Amino acid sequence: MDRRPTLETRPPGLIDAVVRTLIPPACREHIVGDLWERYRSPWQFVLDAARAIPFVIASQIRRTSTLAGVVIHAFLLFVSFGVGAGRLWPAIAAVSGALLGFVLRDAYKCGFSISVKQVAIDLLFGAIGLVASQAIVALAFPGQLLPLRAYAVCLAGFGVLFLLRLQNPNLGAAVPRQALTLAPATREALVTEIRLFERMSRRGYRIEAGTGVALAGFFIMPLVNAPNWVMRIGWALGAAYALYVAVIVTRIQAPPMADGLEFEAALAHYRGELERRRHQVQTLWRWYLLPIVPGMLLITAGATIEAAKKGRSLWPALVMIALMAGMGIVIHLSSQGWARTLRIRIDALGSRAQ
Amino acid sequence: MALPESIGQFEHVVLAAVLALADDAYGVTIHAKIEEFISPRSVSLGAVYATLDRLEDKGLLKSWLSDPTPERGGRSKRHYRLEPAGERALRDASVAAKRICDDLERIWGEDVWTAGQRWKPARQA
Repeated sequence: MDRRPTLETRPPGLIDAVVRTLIPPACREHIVGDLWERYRSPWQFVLDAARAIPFVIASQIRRTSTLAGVVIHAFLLFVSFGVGAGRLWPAIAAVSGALLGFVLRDAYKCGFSISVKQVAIDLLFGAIGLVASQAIVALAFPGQLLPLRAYAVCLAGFGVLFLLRLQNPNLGAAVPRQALTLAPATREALVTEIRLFERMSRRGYRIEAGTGVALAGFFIMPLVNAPNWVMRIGWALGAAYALYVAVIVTRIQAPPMADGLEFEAALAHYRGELERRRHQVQTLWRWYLLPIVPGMLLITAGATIEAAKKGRSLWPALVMIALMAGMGIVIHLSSQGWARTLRIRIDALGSRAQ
Repeated sequence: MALPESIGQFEHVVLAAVLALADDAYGVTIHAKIEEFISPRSVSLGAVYATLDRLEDKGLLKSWLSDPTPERGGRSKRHYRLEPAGERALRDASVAAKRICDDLERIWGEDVWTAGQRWKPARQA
């Protein structure tokens, strides 16, 4: 049976436009083409699209969102909304809405958010998700709305996410395998990729160093006001750690590639840089995560001593330790995944070099 | 040596459809071939796309866009081809399926294909 539509048997324009809009751009071209090819009647077209689109969106989300990225987003949003709201359910509703906004944005955007403007649009989608969730809560459970003061704290959470997304363009998205294994064919394409890599690396290091210095300054206040010496030493170690990170990320920066290199030389340079980065990422737990542990443990121990003195529950300290350990594990797993991704890219470039 | 990628039953069917269709393997034809394989059951086009994406991410399939065609509203087809790892995974899964069939034939004492035609759920038997 020939299912190919003629000009008279094409889907109605409005239905076609809605279907096109709902399908993520990364797979729109071929899926809309397939739906057109199967077209027999408007009803059948709508039914076909309705049965395909949820799978296509789910598949695209699987491709563009990493578990570690979602957990990091959820954690940051939960901390900011939880602190602002002071209650669990309003925070959960707000986190779910904002998270859905981020996940859908990642599924529907083309490529990574590299520029400041693109990252700002990502955040806008998170904010739209938050507002939508609050609109639903207002209709269904008006008592569970976020209090207004929570929005002020949530701005801080969005600020941290802005910096994180700017620093790690792949935070919310997995790199497509095809893009990883496709080696640049010309010198121009290779140099463009290297310059982008250098630019993103420089920006990442700058954000990390700036955050380190800012955190070290911020830690001075609790250091001075800490109620006991254990906490004071903990905050001092925390400030020292933040400064250490600022210094170390400045030192591990590599100078940019020299201009005018031939294809083979540029490829060798780039592979060397990627290999160096892979080593840094793979050993992240040792130089980035481990040094923070003593300070955080002492702060938690100091807070526990104070809580015991005042006869308060020790649960918050245990929850804090569990959360910190969980975040450490997520960052470690995420970095190992990133190291594997870099390995695939290095190997793909190696096959191009041979 | 690393173990080959393991695949599920539906992934097995999708890989077999892509192999059978050779140069004509794209969404619509793959879906039709799968429905032919699993008849009388049917499957949604969306489930086929999701599985094709997953197999591609596992490195078992390779895809590329063809030139646009007028009968598709000037849109391209996404063609699929098995990668060597995909062929290996398909072969391993098929060998396992064959072993299961052989064992079932030994247990039931009859040809699995004939038994499949006559099979009814236990309650109706």
